Amino acid sequence: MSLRSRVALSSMVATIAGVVLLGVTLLALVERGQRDDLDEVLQQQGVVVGEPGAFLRLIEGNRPPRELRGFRQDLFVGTRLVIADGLIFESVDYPAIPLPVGVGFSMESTDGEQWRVLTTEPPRRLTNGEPVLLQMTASMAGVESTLAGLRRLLFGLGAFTVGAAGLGGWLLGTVAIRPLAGLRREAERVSETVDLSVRVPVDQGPSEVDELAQSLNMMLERIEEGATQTQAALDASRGFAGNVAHELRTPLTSMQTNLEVLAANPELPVEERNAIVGDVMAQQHRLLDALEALRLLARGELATADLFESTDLGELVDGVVAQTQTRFPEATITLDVRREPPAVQVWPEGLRVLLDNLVRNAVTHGAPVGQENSDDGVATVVVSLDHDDSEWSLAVTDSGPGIASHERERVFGRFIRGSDTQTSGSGLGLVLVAQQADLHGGRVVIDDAPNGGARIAVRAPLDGGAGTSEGSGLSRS
Amino acid sequence: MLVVDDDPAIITALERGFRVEGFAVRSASGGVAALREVELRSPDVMVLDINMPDLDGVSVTRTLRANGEDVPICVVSANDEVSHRVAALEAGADDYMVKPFALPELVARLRALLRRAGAASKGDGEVIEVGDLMVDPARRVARRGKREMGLTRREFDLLEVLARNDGIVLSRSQLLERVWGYDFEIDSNVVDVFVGYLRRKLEVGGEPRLIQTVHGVGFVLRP
Repeated sequence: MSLRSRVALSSMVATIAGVVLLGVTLLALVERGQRDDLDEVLQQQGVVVGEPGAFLRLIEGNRPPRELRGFRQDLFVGTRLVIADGLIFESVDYPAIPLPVGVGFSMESTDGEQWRVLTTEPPRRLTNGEPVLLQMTASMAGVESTLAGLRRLLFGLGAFTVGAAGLGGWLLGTVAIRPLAGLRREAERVSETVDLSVRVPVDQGPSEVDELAQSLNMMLERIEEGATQTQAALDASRGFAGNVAHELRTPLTSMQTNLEVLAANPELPVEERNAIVGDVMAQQHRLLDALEALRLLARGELATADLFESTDLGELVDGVVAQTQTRFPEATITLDVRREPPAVQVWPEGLRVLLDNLVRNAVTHGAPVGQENSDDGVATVVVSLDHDDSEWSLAVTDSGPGIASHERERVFGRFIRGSDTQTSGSGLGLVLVAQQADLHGGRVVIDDAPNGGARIAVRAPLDGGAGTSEGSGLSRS
Repeated sequence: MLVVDDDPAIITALERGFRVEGFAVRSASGGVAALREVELRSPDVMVLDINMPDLDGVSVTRTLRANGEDVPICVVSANDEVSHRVAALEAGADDYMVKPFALPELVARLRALLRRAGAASKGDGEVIEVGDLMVDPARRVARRGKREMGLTRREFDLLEVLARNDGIVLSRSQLLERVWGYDFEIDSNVVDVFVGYLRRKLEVGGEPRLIQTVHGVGFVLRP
């Protein structure tokens, strides 16, 4: 049912209820008033007839005195005198109602006509001392017709009022839903144009409609936001897939070429053959590194809060440093625990990835260059662990040339390698670091170490950033 | 030696590589076949893949150890099976390597495990007691207080070495050499992993920490 019909119908129902209540009350009041009037007439008649003269005249003359025709000319009022043996007198045209049995008011009816009856016992008795009952009656016809007229009037007025109310409700409903119709048109426009940036006007109608419009706008905003994010994610992954394909194709192509050379030339000199095999192995390593980094990135993206556990950070860092040291025996990696943090809430595996990449990065890029007297090509790496009241911090310092300030943002991009880097890393190491820092609600800062090398520091809250990091990509499960 | 992997390409490559190194190699293409092979021929050392369709490496290890079979087992796994690898070591495997691995390193580790397996059988009978810890090398039983700990062989060996040297800090490479027989540097956190297991079993009743980490140096057992 439309809103308009509802408004019209409900106003009609309310009006009907009002009219009926009013009518019934009014009719009851009028009926009571009319009857009270009749009763008064009957009582006066009783008083008049009960007077000694009138009484005698009634009995002796056997006809009603003139004044007994009633006080009201429009009203028939009859009188009867009754003794124990029966009727002794009744006025002309007295209706055929039963003889009285007691005193007081009653209602009687004959042939569809209603009669109001009053029976009294006047003080005057017959000469032999026998008591007399005086019965008086008046027709209710006048009352009935008054009430019928009133009923007709009320019904007519009521019907008119109800109709008017219905019409009024309908018109009012039409006016009320006009802003809604406007809102509907705006909403339809959004779905037709698929333009999520459209907003519906919010100051056009009554406050209820404006609130609806605001809700609609909020919903549109959410949807637009979601769509934008999805689009961005799609763009990123398209670009990323392209990058991955390129990153994998390059070493594969070079491997293919090298293997083809080997296959076609069984008689290659040993040095040349060894060089080619070494090359193939290096390319294969690069492929594996890239794949592993991609796997870890994907894992980081799928990380959930239940991976976080209370962890002894000093223990974890010590283990990673020891393992990296065995992997790069030529580098010097030292651990400097300034203040050992209390047990912190972290994802241990993710944090190992973070630290491993930082240290690996420092070892591969952190060797001093162009200094005649230094241990050329050997990196000196210092891992320091510290904390304050709210955050732990992990810094890795190397002995290399540092990272130029204009490159500090760029190195966090996927497959980006430092511009003056000769070594071929996967280009994903610092991406992993940034991802893990973000997961832990922390941040990465690159600056210069006192010796000119690069210093990459990660600071994150002790409680794992649960609920505190807005930018965290972590889906809390 | 027994090589277990469900991928024929890996089996072929490993067989070739190990033969060149002078091992007598047999292979099994699944967990069930591996168990049968161990029963029939009792290999001296096993390379066991974790992820196999019929019966995985963890179950194979558990079954073998439950049957009292103490052949040294090196599990190999892809890197995204960390939890399985951990489960395999807990089930009693001796070492793990991550695919892809360098063959020379796997060979070196297997040789060391073989040597170690020969030496380990003759434990000396002297009971070691440090604080509330008791290690009995002859019966291969370890107790903390009154509680007997169920240790795998490698856990027991590690605890024994640490307990014999109580108060002395042992570096990871020293532990690798004395417990696993690796007298060469390896890129692995196997010591850390086993120290983790040991600590868990030592502290299960809420006892204070026995095995301490000394940053940048190694581990020490100190009551």
